[in-house]
Amino acid sequence: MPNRSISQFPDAGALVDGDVFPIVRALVNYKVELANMPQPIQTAQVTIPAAQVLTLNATPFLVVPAVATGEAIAIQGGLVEFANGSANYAANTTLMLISATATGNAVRVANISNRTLPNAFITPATFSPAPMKEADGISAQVLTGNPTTGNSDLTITVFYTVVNV
Amino acid sequence: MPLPETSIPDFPDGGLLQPTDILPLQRFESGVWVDYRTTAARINGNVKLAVIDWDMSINLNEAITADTPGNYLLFLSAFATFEPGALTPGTGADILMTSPTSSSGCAYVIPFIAGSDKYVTISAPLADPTTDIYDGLDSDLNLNVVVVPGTFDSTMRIVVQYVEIEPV
Repeated sequence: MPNRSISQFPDAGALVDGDVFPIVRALVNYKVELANMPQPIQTAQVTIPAAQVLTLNATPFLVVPAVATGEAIAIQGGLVEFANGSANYAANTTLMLISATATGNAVRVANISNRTLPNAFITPATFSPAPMKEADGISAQVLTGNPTTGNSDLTITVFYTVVNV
Repeated sequence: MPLPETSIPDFPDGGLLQPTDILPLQRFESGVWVDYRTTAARINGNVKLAVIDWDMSINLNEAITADTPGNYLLFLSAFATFEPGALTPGTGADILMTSPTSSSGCAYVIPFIAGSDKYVTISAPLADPTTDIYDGLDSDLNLNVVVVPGTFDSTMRIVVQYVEIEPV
């Protein structure tokens, strides 16, 4: 490493396979390849207009597009926020993050019955969470049926890693 | 990669890695290794880490607070390790992690139990939205345990991973 500050190096942009990082272990210098470091946590954010929230059981909304063959998404966490609304959603207010292609249980759940209370997606406790599969994406759907009232846009943010399978 | 005259172990300790920290890397391009910089956020997202060493002989009252007031703290995961040395083997308790403004705030629990082994405990969600118990978001994550005096006499290290989010 030349005698100039690290901050003077050009920005690497997106990390790529083969990038190497210096570390010191037990006072000995080593390199660590990107593939041997923790998987980066990526962020996806979508806003679902209120009109589409009212059909969110019949028509799920794509949150994270499908990853490539040989990869799968592991959700680390997420939240739902509300905007532009004046009335709460009523009935069918369990918001689920689900596989974009498979039917089945939620991977994470949150609640959209109170538009003043942004809340986190958590692992469902009352039914078994579904696994994510290879080459799949994540969609948002409400449980059971469509909400009957309500007019808030929903902003969903999901933190996830892409793992090789 | 040759290093400067001062070796890295001689540097002052930077403490916990921050998302904006800059790290060096090299990339193989056109037959040569080229220096670049990146941020910790590109490696592990915007995940932040809080490390709390709790003297288990007294009540736990810790708050993790957003750097920017008004931002949300989203809990991702946590674990706790300790070597019991307990006065009362078999005694259990829970670390409750709450978001203060949530009417039903208690969202996560880290169970632990005294004994003779080293333990790692991992948090689990306590609430379920289908029962209208929300995991409300706030600018603080509070960790609390009320202990029975004389029950525990060890130190527990609690590591919490979370994300600080600017509201939309």
